[in-house]
Amino acid sequence: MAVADFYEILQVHPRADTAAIEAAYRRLADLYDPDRLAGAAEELVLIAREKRAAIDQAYAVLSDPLERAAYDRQRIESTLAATSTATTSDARLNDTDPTEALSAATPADPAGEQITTRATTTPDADAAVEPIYDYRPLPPAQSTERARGFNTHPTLQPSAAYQRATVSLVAIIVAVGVLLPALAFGSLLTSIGSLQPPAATATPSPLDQFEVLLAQARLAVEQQPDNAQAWVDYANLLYDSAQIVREQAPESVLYQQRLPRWLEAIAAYRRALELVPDDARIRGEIGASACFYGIGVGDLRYIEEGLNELQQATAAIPDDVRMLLNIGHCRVNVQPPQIDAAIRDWQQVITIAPGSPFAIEAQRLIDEYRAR
Amino acid sequence: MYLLGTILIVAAVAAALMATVSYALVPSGNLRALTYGRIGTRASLIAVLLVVGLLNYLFVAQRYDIEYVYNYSSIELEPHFRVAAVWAGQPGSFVIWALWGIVAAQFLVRRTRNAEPYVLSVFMFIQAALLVFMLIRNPFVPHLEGGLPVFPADGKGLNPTLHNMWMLIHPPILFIGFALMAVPFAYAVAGIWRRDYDGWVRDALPWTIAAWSFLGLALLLGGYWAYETLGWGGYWGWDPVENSALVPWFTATALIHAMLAQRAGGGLRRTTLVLAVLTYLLVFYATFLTRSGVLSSFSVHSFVEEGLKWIMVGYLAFLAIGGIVVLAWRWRDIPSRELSEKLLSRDSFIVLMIICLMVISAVVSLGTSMPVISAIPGVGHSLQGALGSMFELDDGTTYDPNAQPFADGRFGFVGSFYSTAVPPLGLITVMLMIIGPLLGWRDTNIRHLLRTLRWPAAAAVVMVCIGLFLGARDPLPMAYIGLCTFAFGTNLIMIIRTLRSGWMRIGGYLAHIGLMLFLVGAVASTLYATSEERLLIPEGETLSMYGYDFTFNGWMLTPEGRGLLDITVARGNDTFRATPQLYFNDRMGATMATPSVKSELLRDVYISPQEYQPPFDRNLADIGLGQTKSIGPYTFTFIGFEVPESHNEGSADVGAKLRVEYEGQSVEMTPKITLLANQSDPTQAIQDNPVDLPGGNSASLAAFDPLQRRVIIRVDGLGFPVDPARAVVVVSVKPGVMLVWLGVILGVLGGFIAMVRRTLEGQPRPAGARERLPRGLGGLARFVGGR
Repeated sequence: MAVADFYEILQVHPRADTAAIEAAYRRLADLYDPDRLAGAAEELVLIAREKRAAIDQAYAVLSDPLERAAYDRQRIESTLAATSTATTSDARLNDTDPTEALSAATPADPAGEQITTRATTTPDADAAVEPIYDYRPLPPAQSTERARGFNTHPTLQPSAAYQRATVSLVAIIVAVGVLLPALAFGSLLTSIGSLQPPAATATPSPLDQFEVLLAQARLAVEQQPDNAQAWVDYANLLYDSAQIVREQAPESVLYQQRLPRWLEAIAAYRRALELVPDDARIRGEIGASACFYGIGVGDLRYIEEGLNELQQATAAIPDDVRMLLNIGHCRVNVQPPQIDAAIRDWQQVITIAPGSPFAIEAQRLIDEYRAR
Repeated sequence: MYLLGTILIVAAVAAALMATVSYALVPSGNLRALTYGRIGTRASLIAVLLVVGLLNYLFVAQRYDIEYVYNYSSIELEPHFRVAAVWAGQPGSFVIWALWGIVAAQFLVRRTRNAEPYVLSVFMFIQAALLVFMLIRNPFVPHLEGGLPVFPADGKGLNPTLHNMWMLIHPPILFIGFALMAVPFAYAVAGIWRRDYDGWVRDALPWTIAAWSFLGLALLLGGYWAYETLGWGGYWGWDPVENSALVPWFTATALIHAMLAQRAGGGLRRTTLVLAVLTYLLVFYATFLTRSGVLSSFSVHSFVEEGLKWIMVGYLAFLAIGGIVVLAWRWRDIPSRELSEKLLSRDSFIVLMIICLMVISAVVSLGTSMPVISAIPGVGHSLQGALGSMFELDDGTTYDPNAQPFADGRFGFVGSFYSTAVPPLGLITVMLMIIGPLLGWRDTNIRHLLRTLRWPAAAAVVMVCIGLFLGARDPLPMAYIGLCTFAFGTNLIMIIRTLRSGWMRIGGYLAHIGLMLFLVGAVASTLYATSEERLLIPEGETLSMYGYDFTFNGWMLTPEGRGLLDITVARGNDTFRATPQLYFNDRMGATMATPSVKSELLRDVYISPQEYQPPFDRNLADIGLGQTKSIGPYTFTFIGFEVPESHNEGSADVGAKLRVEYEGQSVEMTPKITLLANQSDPTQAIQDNPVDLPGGNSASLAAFDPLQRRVIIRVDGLGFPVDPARAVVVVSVKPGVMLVWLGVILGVLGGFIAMVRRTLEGQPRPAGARERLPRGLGGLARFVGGR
C-alpha cells in the first residue's frame, strides 16, 4: 500500500472514536518517547524517533475530524483498488457503506486481517469471532512487577487453530471416570446413610417371617378399625409371630421380647370379638394367648383366665384340634396341674385327626407328661 | 421417587465433578477438556433444576410418603408455602444454595475469559461438595414406619415460626449471598494458580460486591423477621446464627476495600488473596456452626441435627488446608508493591480499616465459637474462670431454663459480651470513615481536606447539642452520634462531588451513609429504648404508658385459628389498632406469640403479648377429685361422681358428691344434672338440679369432665362479680428503629450501584479506550437490556 495505515500505527480500530485515538496516542507516544531512551544505543534511539514521528503524523491526521474523513475516503479507495485487482469486483460493496464493507470483505488485505484479529477483544466483535484464549498459566512473576504492556489475556493465533472438540475417546474416559466413582459413592452413601432400606429387601430369619405382614396388617386395622376380619388377621399374625418363636426357641431372649405380642394379640382378638360377639374360635385364641403369656411370664392369673376362656370355647366347638392342644398346655400349667385332663384332651386330638401334625404333637406331649 | 431423586442428585454431583476435572485439565494444554468442562457446567444446571423441580413437585403434589415432605408440609399449607417448605430443612437449603451457585457458574463461563478453567474448576468443586451434603441427607427418602414405607394422609406441617412471608424471601437471598461468596474465593485461587495476581481482582470485584450486598440484605431481612414477627424483642440478638453470618460480611467488607486499593495502586496483593480465601472459609464455618448441631444449646435457632458433623468438619479442614497450601505455593512469586507512605492517604486508611474490621471479626467469631473452643477438654473451666468475672456467660441454660448446665466447662457468651466489646471498635471504623473518603489514593492536600471538613464538623456539633438537649448523656452514644453525623457529612460531600461524573460512582459513599444511619439507629434503639413495661389491661379498659393509651378490646380468633389480642393504641388523635397474636399451637406444643409494632419515623412502639387471662367468675369453682376449693363462705370437697346404676329410659343423672363446710358445720350433698333424651327442645335436654346450701344459697353442677374427673360448681345467691378478661402485654418504645432499616437499605442500594459500575468497568474494551461510565439511567437500561 502506498500510504501507511495510520490506524495500524496507532493500534486502534478504524471506527474508534476520538477519545480512544487520543488515549492510544498518549500511550504510544509515551512508550516511544526518545527521552526515555537516554543513554541507550544510538540505533535504538533512532528507531524510536522514527516510530514516534510516524505516531505523531498519524495522530495529527486522525485527531482532526476533517483530515480524518479525507484520509478515510482515500484509504477505502486504495483498499477497493487492492481488492478489485485481487478478486473480481463484488457487487455487494457498491450499495453498502464503504466503512462497513471494509472490515467485512477485505480478508486479503493485510491491514484488514490485522483488524479482525485484534477485534476479537472488542465487545462488538465478540459474537462474530470467539477468541481462542491461551489458557496456560502466565509466566512466573518472581516477585517483580509485570512489565507495563504485559497482556494478561493472551490469545492463540487462529492459524494455530485447533478443531473444536467433538465427542471422542477423551470425553468418554472423562465421563466414565467421573460418573462411576460418583455413582459408587452415591449408592454407598444411600445404603449406609441414616435410612434403613425397606425391610422386604433384607433376608428375614424364619422367626421374623411374619414381621412384614404384621406391619401391613397393623396399617389395615388402622385404616378400617371396624373390619372384624382385619382385626382377626392382625391378631392371628401377632399370635403366629409369637408362637413361632415359642415353638422353636422358647428359651431365647427373642421370645422374652416377643412375650408382649400375646397381650397385643389378646387386645386385637377382643376388638374382633366386640365386632363379632359370640365367636367361639376367637374366644379360643384369646384363651390360648392368655395361657401362653401366663406361662411365659409365670403369672397364674393369666393361665387361669385363659383356661376359662378356652373351656367356654371348647364347649361351643368341641372338636377343634388346635384348641384342644392349647387347652392341654393350659391345664398342665395351672396350680394344681390338671395333667390327667390335659392328656385326655390330647388323646382326643389323636382320635379326631389321626396322623396329622397335631396328632404327632399331641402324642409327643402325652409321652412327655406321662414320663413325669 | 427415591430412586429418581437420588439419581438426579448423583447426576448433578457427577456433572459438577466432570466440570471440575475437565477444567483442571485445561491449564496443562488440553483444549478439548474445555468443552467437557462447559458441558459439565451446563449439565449440572439441568440436573440441579430437575432436583429442585422434583422436590417442588413432591411438595406441591403433597407426597407425604416422602419423609422430607412429611416433616415440613401438611394439607392446610398454602401453595406458596409449599414451595417455600422446600428450603425449610437442611437438604433443601443445600440444594437452593447449590442452585444459585450453579446459576452463577453459567455467567462465569462467559465472563472469565482466560481464567475460565481455573475459576470454574474451583467453583464447580464447591458446588459438588454442597450437592454431596444434600445427597447424604437425601430429601427423597421415603417415609418409613416400622421399617415399612407408608403413605400418611397428612404431614407434620411447617414450623409456625417459619409460616410467614419472610420465609419466602429471607432464605433464598441468604443463599444467593452465600453462593456468590464462593466466586471471589474461586477467583482468588484461580489468580494464584494462573499467576494473574492483578487481573482476578478486576473480574471478581463486581461479584464480591454483589455477594456483599445480598448477604447484607439477608441480614436485614433476618433482623426484620425477628423484630416484626418472631418477637425476639429486637432485630439483632448477637445469636450465634446471626453472628456467624455477620463475620463473613465484615471480612467481605474488608475484602472489597482491599480490592479497591489493589486496583488503584497495585498494593495489598497478598492481603486481598488471603481475605478472599478467609471470607469463604468463614462462610462455610458459619454453615458448620449452624448445621452441625454444636451450638444447639446456645441459640434461639434450633439446629440439632448431628448427621453432617464430621463430613463438614472434614470439608472445612480441606478448604482451610487447601487455601493455605495454595497461598504458600505462590507466596514468593507474588510481586509486592509499596503502599503510600503518607498517613493521610486512602491506602493507609484502608489498611487501618482492614485491621479494624479484622479485630472486630476476630472478637465476634471467637465469642461465637466459644462453645466449640470451651468444649476442648481442660480449656473450658479455666476460660470460664477468667472470662466469667468480666462477662455474662451462658452455661447452656439461657435458652432452655430446664436444661442441665454443662458440667464439662462448655459455655457461650450472651449478648452483653458483644455489646461491650464491639461498639468501641466500631467507633474507630466510623472515625476512619470521616476522613478516608476525602483522601487521595497516594497523598492529600491538607489545606483542602480541612476546608472540606468544616461543614460536616459543624453538623456534628449541632447533632451532639441536639442529643444533649434530648437527654443523652453517656459518652459512647454521644460519640457515636457526633462522629456518625460527621462521617455522614463528609460522605454526603463526596456524593455531591462525584455526582458530577455520573451517578454510578456514588455506590461506596452511599453505603457509608447507610452505615452511619444504621449505627445511629442501632445506638438509639438499643441504648435509649424504654424499659419493657408489663401492662395488665382488663377488657374494655385503658392504660397509659410512655404517652400512649392502650385499650384492650378483647381476644379474637382469626379464620386461620390463630388467637389475637385486639388492642387500640392511641396518642393524641392518632389511633392504631394493634393485634399481637397469641395462641397455643398443638403441633409445636408451645404458645406462639407474634408482636405488634407501630412504626413511626423516629420511634417504634413495640407490643409483645405475654398472656391472655380469660374472664374469671368468682361464683364458680373448678374442683378436681379429692380437691377442696372455696366460694365465699363455703368450702367444697369433691368426693366423687354419683351415677345411678339403673337409669330410667331416656334420661340419665350425673351427680357430684360434695362435702360442704359452712360456718363450722359440714354436710354432704349432691347437685345433679339430668340429661333427657328425645327432648324436642334442645335447651330442655339438660336439666339442672341444684341443691340448697345452708345459709340460703344454692349450689349447682355447672359442668363436669368425667375423663379428668373435674366438676365446676356454681353457687347462686352470693352475687360475686365476674372479673373481666385481661391481656398481659409488654410494651416498650424504641427510638430510631426506622433508621436501622433505612440505613441498611441505603447501604445495600449503594452496593448494587457499585456492582453495576464495577461490572461495566470489568467489561473488555478496545485497546486504548478510556473507561466511560454511563451518566444517566440510559446506560443502566443498556446494561440490563443489552449483551
